[in-house]
Amino acid sequence: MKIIITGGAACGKSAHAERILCKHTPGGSRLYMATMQPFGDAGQARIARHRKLRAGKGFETAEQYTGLAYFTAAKHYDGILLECITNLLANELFSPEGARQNAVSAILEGINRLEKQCSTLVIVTGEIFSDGETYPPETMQYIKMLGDINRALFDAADAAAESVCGILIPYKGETLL
Amino acid sequence: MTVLIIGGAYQGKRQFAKDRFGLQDMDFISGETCTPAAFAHAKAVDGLHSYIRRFMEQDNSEILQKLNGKIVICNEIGCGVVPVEQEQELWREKTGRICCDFAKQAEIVVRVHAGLGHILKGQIGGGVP
Repeated sequence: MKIIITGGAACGKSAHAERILCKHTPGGSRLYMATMQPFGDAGQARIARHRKLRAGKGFETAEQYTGLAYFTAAKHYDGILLECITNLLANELFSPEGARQNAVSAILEGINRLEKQCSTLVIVTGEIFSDGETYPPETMQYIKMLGDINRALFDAADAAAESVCGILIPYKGETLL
Repeated sequence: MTVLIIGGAYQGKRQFAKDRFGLQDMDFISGETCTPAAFAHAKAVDGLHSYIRRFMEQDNSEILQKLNGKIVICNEIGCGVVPVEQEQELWREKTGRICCDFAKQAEIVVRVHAGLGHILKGQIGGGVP
């Protein structure tokens, strides 16, 4: 089963994603798949905040900044939480070891593989499409690629929702959320 | 009554607030220009995001306490690319967290898009918005 949670910055999407994963894996094994490279104070602070949010919920943690398709979990997990596609795409598109122009297919393939390594996969992605700004070409490409990924994920997901001010708006599969 | 009305810029949030909650222009203070004292005593706030930007040093809990009992309009500002400037990123983060917490304490939360209200929490008396 695959569930997608999206939302803008600081909208409470992570908390919902964790809650939903825990709901589907009572007493089960849980892996948190982190994708964010700890750059700068703001990045460190964000990671610390998320760690605190997850504390006591029985998550093991793995880190994969690029090449998700090459990740093999130590075992089959009841639930995996992949957070967040916005970081993963930035890594794949902009870092030297990333898949660059093949970032979209690399990420979708990685998600397919991850899905096979657990019973419930919850994926956090982001909404970055509505600030009306025009950016340099590489940023516009990033925005387009994230749109491509999100559409593919929403299409294939069993459930999908957006978090707005901490309130979840279901788009499909409401009973699973 | 404590109400949060969010939405993108120029979506009719203030008109919605006036139509649905019986407010007049004089009931609103502007987050862009008001003093903290005026903010504390207003019936309704238009532009919480602007207020937060001007008073980044104020504690979230202090702002949230002042918002209690008010009808509050806030632009959605989190659905874009991560800003390059840290100050702007922190503003986006702070506005988002305050909105998440305020939504918990509000009886009604509405998202206005193109003039239409989508009720996310609670109920507005007098039928469909």
